[in-house]
Amino acid sequence: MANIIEPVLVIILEISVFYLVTKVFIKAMTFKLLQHLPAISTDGQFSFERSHYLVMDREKIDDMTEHSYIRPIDQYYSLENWKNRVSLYINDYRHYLKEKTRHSSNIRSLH
Amino acid sequence: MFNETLYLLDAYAWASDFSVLCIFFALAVKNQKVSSSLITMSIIAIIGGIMLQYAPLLLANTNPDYTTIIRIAWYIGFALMYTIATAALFYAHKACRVEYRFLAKLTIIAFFMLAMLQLSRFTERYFWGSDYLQPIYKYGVIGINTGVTTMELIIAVMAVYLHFSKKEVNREIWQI
Repeated sequence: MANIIEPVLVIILEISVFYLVTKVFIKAMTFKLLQHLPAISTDGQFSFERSHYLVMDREKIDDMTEHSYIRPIDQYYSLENWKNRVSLYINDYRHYLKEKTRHSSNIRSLH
Repeated sequence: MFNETLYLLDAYAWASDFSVLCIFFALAVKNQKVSSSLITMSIIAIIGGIMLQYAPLLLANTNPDYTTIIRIAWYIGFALMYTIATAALFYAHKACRVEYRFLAKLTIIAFFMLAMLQLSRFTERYFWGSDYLQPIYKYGVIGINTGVTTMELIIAVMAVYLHFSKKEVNREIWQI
């Protein structure tokens, strides 16, 4: 009996370790700083690296995230949040239209 | 004899890892910036030090009753250590909000390959009792470790050169 249990336990152990190794590798390799952008504090405390995202001022990032030009990647690609995605796109489009109208009215007022 | 040579090679590799870590630490203090290379070298040095202590501990036990347990502790243990090191690299970069540089990517790939080598060699030895993968395992581990150590030294020399050079260089391209 012990002769059967031991290889089975070893197989389970090995498969779980193989799964863990692969999962951690994929998670580590797909890491992008952009995903964690909204959490960045840009008051100079975290500007360790020469990334151009980190030298932006706080207001600019807030403004960009508010209008959802930059979103967390998993939210962007998630199939479950498709409704949310559609509403975000509509918001984007509304914002674009508003900006466009304002811009053209500015030009008209100049004339 | 071969094990002793391997152990010596590991010890020299760890010594060079530690010196490269000191170089990156000095550069980080000088520039007031935590770099990806510094994080990577710290983790490599810590995990290398643990492995240097762990290997002789297992090799010292020659009792034939514990062969299976020692094999599991050796192969699975090393595979888990590489996995923990990879996870530590990921979380350290995330916590410091630093992007990966060349050395971090190279280390993650090397650790993954080493973990896979350990797992495949264990499977072969435990289930089939054959030795076909032995040369691949032996020279693969030595080759990957030596390759990573050589790249670390080259990048450390490049980082020091760029720090003292007065020329304007694009550090994004150099990936240090």
